[in-house]
Amino acid sequence: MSLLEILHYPDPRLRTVAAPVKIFDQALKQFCDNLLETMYAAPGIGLAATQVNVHQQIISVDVSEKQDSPHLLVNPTLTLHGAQYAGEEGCLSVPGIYEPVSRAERITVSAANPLGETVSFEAEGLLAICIQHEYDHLQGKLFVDYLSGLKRNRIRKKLQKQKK
Amino acid sequence: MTLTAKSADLRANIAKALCLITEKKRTIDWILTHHPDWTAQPIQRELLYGCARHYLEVQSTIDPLLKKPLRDKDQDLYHLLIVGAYQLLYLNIPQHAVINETVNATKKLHKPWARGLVNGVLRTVSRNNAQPKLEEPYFGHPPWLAKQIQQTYKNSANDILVANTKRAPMTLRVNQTKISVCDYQTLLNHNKINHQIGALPQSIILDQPMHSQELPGWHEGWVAVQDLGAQFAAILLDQHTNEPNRILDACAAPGGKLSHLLELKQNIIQSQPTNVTAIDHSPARISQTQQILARLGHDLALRSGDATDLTWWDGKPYSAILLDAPCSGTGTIRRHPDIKMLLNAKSIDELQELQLKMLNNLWQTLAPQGTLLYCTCSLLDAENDGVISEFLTQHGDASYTSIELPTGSKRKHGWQLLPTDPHTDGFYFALVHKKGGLER
Repeated sequence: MSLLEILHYPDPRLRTVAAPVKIFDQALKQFCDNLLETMYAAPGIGLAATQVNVHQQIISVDVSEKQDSPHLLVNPTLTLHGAQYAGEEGCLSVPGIYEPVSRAERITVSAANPLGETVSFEAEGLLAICIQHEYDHLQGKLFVDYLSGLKRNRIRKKLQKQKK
Repeated sequence: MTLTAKSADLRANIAKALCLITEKKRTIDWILTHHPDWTAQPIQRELLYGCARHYLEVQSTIDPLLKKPLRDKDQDLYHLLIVGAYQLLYLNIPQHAVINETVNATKKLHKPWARGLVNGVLRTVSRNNAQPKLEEPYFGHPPWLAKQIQQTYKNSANDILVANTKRAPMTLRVNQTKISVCDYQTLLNHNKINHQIGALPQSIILDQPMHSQELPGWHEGWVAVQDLGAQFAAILLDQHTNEPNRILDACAAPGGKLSHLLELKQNIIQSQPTNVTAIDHSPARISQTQQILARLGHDLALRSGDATDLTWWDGKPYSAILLDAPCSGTGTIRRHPDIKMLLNAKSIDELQELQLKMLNNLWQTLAPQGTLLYCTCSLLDAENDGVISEFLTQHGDASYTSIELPTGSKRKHGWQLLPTDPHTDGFYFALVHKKGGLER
């Protein structure tokens, strides 16, 4: 297994819309393991393939304290329920920035696992927020897109400055 | 996605910060600069400011639940209980989450043995369905402080004490040398920042506080954050001095009133750059002030100097002096709730002594017919009219000039703004006039 390089905002590649996975083979399984490992090492609680410059619909999520209940979701689709709830979010592609974002409180997820088997479950709280956040990445969307233009510009400038 | 600082860490750090305040007498400002990681997120600042704002009320909720006081070395645990109880009483976070996270924070303080204690106390608070209690007669203030305020303000005292537990608005001062108020308002509207104009034309009160760096034109120096009350200082001085003049700002840092004064007097300063002298005794604060002035586009070098001596003085008298004296800050308790935790009755006597010493010292540098504006952000008579009346009896060549402002109330010698007045902190202003010279 190996660690993958994470792209940082405002890298334009983060805007790529991911394609659905068609072939479930050993290479996919290998990539999923690397994605998960990269996420744990970061450390993060969620990582989308888009963030490591692989533009396929794959996300990894683990919100447990002990980091022992990972979800690897391929070609996920979400149904949103419940009230909107604003929680503070951060992103491995937008390091050091934390801002509140309003999300659905509960979601129903259907996806495939890396073996190609269909999975479907309900999620709420942090897990629901995290899956919505990663799902956005697959659409080329970042959590900073929910903020005001003013805030987003400030964040972009800050990150560009850090990079120099 | 990343987690924000683990919530248990976050609570343990706030407990440590509260210990620094109570035990090492650190201010919240000190914590903000020295432990930025403890206070980076809004929730962390909410907890820190909130616990300080309601410290005594939260104490009165948990103290009866402790069989005996915690040992001195367990003050971090005691403050963790404060953090937990504050959230139960004042914040809209699910109770089970608060208790769970706060209990976990015992591990971060390396005191896992205290899980049971923290769990027990917080569950009792939760079970009793305890409500925040802001009780008479002191309304969450140290008794000596409440009594002094009550003595001075009689009937309105209780309103002032209650106002001190509220949040202060965020107020801007438009730098009119760079942009007109009208244009700046357009800019705010454009960015959907709701606001209103305050009692002074250049003052803008925001409906919602925000990061100052996110304000439009912040880096260009179009605007400064300054309480409405503080904005009266430069205006008073400007109105009561005749030009041309030499002005001294004797305790200039952090430079809010100084930059305002420079904005008002811009024309004169451009022709004769030595017209304003600004000193402060702290080199660190001078460099900080220098940055603020630079952002606002003011080219003025501060000098290191202590207002209690004359080593910095070039011997030429000033026609106007601004003495924004070190004070208890009791007028700004809404912005600095840690003042209630830090201040004691003895420090007021010491401050009064220092204020008089500065006045006496600076008086020597004031030209006949000159004006000194004495101001504090204190509510206490001892630091305000008390100091001025003592000064007037000591100096036969001093008299006071009456002040009339659109908001606030008249005291015997000066003018007092209160946190109960619209949009202002508590401030005190007194104009002292020096006789002699042309007068016959």
